Amino acid sequence: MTIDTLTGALDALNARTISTLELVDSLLERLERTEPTLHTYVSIFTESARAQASAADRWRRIGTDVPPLLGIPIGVKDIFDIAGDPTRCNSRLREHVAPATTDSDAVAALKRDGAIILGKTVTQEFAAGVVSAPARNAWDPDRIPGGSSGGSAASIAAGTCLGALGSDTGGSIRIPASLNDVVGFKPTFGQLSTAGVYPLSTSLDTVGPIARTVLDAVILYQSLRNEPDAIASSKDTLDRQGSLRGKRIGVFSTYFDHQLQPGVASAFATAVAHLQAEGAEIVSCDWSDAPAARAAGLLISRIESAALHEKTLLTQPELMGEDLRSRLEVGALLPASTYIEALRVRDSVTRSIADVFIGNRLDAVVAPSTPASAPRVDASVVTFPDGAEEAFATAMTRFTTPWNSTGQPVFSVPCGFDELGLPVGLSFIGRPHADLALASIAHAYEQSTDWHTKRPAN
Amino acid sequence: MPDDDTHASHAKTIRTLARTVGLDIDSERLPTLVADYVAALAMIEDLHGVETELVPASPFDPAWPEAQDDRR
Repeated sequence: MTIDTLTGALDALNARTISTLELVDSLLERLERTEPTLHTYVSIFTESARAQASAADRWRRIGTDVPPLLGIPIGVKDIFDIAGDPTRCNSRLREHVAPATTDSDAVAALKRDGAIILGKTVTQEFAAGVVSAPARNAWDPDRIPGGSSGGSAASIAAGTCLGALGSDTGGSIRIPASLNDVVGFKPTFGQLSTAGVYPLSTSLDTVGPIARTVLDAVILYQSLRNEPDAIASSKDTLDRQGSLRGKRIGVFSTYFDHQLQPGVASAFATAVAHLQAEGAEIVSCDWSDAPAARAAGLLISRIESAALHEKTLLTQPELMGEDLRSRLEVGALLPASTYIEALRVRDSVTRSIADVFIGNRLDAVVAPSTPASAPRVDASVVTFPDGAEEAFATAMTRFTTPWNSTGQPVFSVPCGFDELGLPVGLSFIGRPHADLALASIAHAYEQSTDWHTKRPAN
Repeated sequence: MPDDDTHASHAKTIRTLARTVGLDIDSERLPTLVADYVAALAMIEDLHGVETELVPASPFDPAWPEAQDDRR
């Protein structure tokens, strides 16, 4: 039996139907088969993972004070510090960087709770972009996995780890989760520590889990927010509020319904109908500030990242990939007045979306996570039914970045497949600091469908 | 895509701004930069029209006075 959910692994380990070493070895065997095609990891800690697995088995046999994630293999995006390992951020600029001396807070939390760090996963250079080369999409290796947490999402989809760390500044958790048929969770901005995570845009950067299911993501979230005692009751927490009946779910009649690929539009319409059939009250609403919210997020990110990398942009630009370099250069050319205006607009749109939620008494809103499924690796644009073309990096962040501006929590959950058999994601957007209430809605939707049970052919 | 005149105008602006901040932009990379710069200008356009306040505020309060808090 293949175990490819975190919860399934915990059940099996606790029931002693599998040992931690057997679990880790099964993932390492799977990695041997999938990595030559998918390239989702930059490093795999085979020896330390096996040693930790053996130690975990001994601990579990003794049976006292067993930490809640003992023996769970995790993939870590290569912008998170792991003590003793270099954080290279997929950049030639950090090719020879010294190993990190301490763990990032996120890695430290997972280790405290017994998780085994299986390896470092591929990121777009400095987490700035959606391609995540050389990683490939788990459903079609001729396509991008999305990004920037592309290696993390594709490794979950491929079943080569049971949970993964990602970061999200403009969509970097949700986009690859959507393109790989897994769950991506961007918590409320500021909830989780970003200490030890290489920054991209400090007023937007958000750490979060990528996992097979909403429950798996919530378990990791409880660890990341230093609530290990809440892990055991995560399922009860979600089930307690779990019904969709009576929940008021907003659906936007503008912006988020514009320029969608047909397969995405169809999957989204089916998902909304399903929510209604399950008893949710669908509320049509409008948020005219959505384009400004997106623009504010993108501009803040561009300018802050240019400031962060100013020195290397001036002295070693030839070591940067073209995507990163041009992004930083444009950010460096924008005036301070643009940054100030973007911050003010951010504040304004945060208030206007609050008005939408409060005025319509919404529990959540839903929207497609991305307007298109995964582009081919050689594509530069996404084409829509009217023939319009949009640069795919622009298209992929169109529906995600507004929620970085507003700071709200978002789950991207599998909601179907397009006509090419490529995954489509559904975003549930909630109220700030009501992350678990949002999780219960996303969980209820997920558990009433079977999209999360689909697996790629490999 | 901007027309030739507009492209030339943007290219000139970019070169001027780049000199100001000390960036060395070679001709080969200019078309990419112009495209990215034009995209940034479009984003700036999207900012306009949103009413903003001069007084800075925290991201959530008092916009979400009744927001639930998982931590409570």
